[in-house]
Amino acid sequence: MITDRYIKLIDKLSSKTQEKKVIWQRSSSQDEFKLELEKGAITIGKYEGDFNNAPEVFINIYNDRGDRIDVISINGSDKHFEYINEFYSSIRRSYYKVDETIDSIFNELESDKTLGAPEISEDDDLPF
Amino acid sequence: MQRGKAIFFLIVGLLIIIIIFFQLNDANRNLWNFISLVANFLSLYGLLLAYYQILSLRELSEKTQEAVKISSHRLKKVLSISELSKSKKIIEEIQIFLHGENLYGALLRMKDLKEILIQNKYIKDLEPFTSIKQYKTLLINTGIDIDNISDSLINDKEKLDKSNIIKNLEITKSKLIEFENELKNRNDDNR
Repeated sequence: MITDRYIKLIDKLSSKTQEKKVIWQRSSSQDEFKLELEKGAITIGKYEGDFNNAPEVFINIYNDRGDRIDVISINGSDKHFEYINEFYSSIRRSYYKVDETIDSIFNELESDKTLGAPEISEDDDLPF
Repeated sequence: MQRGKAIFFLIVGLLIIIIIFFQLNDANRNLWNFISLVANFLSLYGLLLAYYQILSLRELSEKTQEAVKISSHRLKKVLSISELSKSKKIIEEIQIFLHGENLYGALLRMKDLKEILIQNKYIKDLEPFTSIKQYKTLLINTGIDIDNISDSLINDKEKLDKSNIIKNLEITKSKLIEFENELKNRNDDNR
């Protein structure tokens, strides 16, 4: 169960992420991202689930000594799961610059130039 | 040298007493007055000698304190450098454990590394380095990596990204080498 205080925290982080005012980094766990703060750090990771286990999103809070001081775990059956999952997706999109990449694809598609590049042949000379 | 000076002043003082004694009129120039003059001089001489000894002792004590302070500072510096070298060795061990898929070994040594990184924060000589944000980042990253290794050992939900841990360790090692060189090359007078 996630408290209102954490919901408020996630709200703020979510809006900052959407405004691109937060720099998320990759963590040492796959599918986990971290945010460094003055007095600690926050990590958020996702377990996609399998036949036996529901998907889960984890949020860890660290103090400035690198100690994990709190863990919030929201699984698929939690009423806040969709909201937290969307927050996680927005972080992932922010880290991989998904929106910027799609925008650049749109720009390319809307231009008159020919898209794509010819296949490199073995006979091609090097450009120097 | 000090003893030579003391003997010199004693001889000069006695000569002055003898001169004063022979300057006395005939009525006063007797054995009792001579003894009295010598005794007075010796008392005064003893007092001055004691005072001089106290001053010398104080100077000696101050010099000893200064020498102890310098030695203590050098010892602390050597210990700080040795702690940093130890951290570098631990990082290399962790990297070997990670390459060899020995996560239990890596976890143990990571905990040792974190302990040393925290201890470094309380070493005065390292304060200029440990108080900067970069150092806090190293400490936090080490904490996160420890928890991720630990979680991956406990449950299957955690998929460890070892390359990221190795990268973080390399950054920590580079920073520690920088600190070590700064400390080695720092002038001892800047304490």
